[in-house]
Amino acid sequence: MREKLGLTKSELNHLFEKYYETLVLFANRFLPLRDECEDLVQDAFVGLWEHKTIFPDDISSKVFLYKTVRNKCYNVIKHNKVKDKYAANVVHSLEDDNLFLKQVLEEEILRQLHEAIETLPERKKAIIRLSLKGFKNNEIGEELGIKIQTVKTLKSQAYKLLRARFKGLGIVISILIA
Amino acid sequence: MKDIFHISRLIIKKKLKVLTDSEKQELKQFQEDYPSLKDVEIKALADRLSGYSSIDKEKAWRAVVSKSLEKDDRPKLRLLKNSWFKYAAVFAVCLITLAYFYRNKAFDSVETTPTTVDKKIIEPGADKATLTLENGSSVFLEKGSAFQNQNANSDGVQIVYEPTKENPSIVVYNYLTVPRGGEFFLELSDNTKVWLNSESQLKYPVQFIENETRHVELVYGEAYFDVSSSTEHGGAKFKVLNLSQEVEVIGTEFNIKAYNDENIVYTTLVEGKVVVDNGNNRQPLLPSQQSSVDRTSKKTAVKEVDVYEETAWRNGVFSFRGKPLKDIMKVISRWYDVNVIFENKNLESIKFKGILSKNQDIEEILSIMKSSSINEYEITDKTIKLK
Repeated sequence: MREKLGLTKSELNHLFEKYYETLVLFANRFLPLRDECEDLVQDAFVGLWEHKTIFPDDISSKVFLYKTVRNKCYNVIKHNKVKDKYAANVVHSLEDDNLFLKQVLEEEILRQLHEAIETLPERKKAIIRLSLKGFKNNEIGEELGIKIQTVKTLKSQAYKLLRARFKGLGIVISILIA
Repeated sequence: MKDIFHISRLIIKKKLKVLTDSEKQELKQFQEDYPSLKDVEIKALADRLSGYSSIDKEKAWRAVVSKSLEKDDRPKLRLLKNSWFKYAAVFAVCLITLAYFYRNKAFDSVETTPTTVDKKIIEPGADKATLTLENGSSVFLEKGSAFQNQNANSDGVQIVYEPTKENPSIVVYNYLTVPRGGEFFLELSDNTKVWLNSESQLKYPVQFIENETRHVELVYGEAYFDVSSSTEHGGAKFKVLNLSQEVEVIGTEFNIKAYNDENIVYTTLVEGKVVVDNGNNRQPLLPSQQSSVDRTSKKTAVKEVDVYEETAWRNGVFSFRGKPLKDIMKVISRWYDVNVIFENKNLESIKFKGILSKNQDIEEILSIMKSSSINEYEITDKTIKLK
């Protein structure tokens, strides 16, 4: 059986590829400076690497990452002596556990949508992004400079591709006799 | 907390209208348990999707690696200054080596179950390829090895050819060869994007001559093409050649599968318009259609296919909907670089459906198959026997 203490470099890279951007955007909810967010998330990955516990699966490592980033944001804000109303609100939102769940839920939805949209051809990508924002076909056509009929066709093909992707169990493997 | 990840998926499925009845129930229950999470809505979130494109992930990864190296080095150096620690370290290494030999020996004397011993030999594939240059020399590309010349730039996991500055007078070719257990991304000088699957070879011009038909050749294997529109290149057509067929492209995305050990060449159109010419007849394709050219009879057939399934390999998964095990094992053998032997020939035609992650350990895949219909499997070296 495989024995291991902590993650290998390639396992860490796998997690990094999947969650880095998401965690940066998550931190960006609390800290306005993007550079500061990136720096802090990178530290969280370094921390995960040095953490000599065994995470049984990706989800536990992911929980660790979200929680670490949240704590780091909290510390940064607490350390900043700026006691304005904005900072007070942010601290409040970082202390509320229910809010934390909601923030993670939203980031995870975005992450999976982004991952799925990235696999689409260019024009379909653009159409889906607008459609998810609630744009109507004619508005999408105007925005992208293409005919409504083309928008309709590409949009329905794109949704078909996305449906096929989410219909399966996704990353979890599943094999059944057909 | 762990539910959150599952629920996030259900919310997306709800938006796409693909929830099953039991999932609907599950989501409803969850929203009753956590009323504060009820108002999460995709429409309100979609604006934030653009945040993803503004992050430089490669730079960030290098930062993570160098940060952890800094942390690693400091305590070690300090410890090694104490001379007793040096001796202790040497002693520890000896002990570990001894233990290792002892362990192996202990294993040898007992009847070994091959699966445990060979576990490390079989690994999922990764980004790698051999680049053959115009002067015949070759460069091996993989993660961590960068390459650069006047035409191309590679960070080891993909290669990008610079757009043409001056119109070249003659066409110069490079080859990209992806071994078993590999895949690779290539961007040609006309901005056409190509994803090459395991065991594939592409021959392509370093630069294209302006206003002339752009030719590339899929010598063998499988590739997904996202061809830059001919309107951007003075109407110059794009053609993908292969021993058995020629695909004429108008500006579009499609997948060609032409393995030497398969008698049929498949072309699947995702978007746009192509014409498949097998020398005898010209077959136009519509999106979601797949042509199959029989190499011996030279006949072409066309059918509707699930585009996602046919091109899933490009997205880190293999998707099979009712494919015979023989076909599934062919795909697996190329990605994990293994030989598969069917000792029980009846197994070849059993159909499976499912989605496999390309990061999956091969044994996890086999053990699931085992639980459903394969009686026993055996792994020796790089050979898997199905019994």
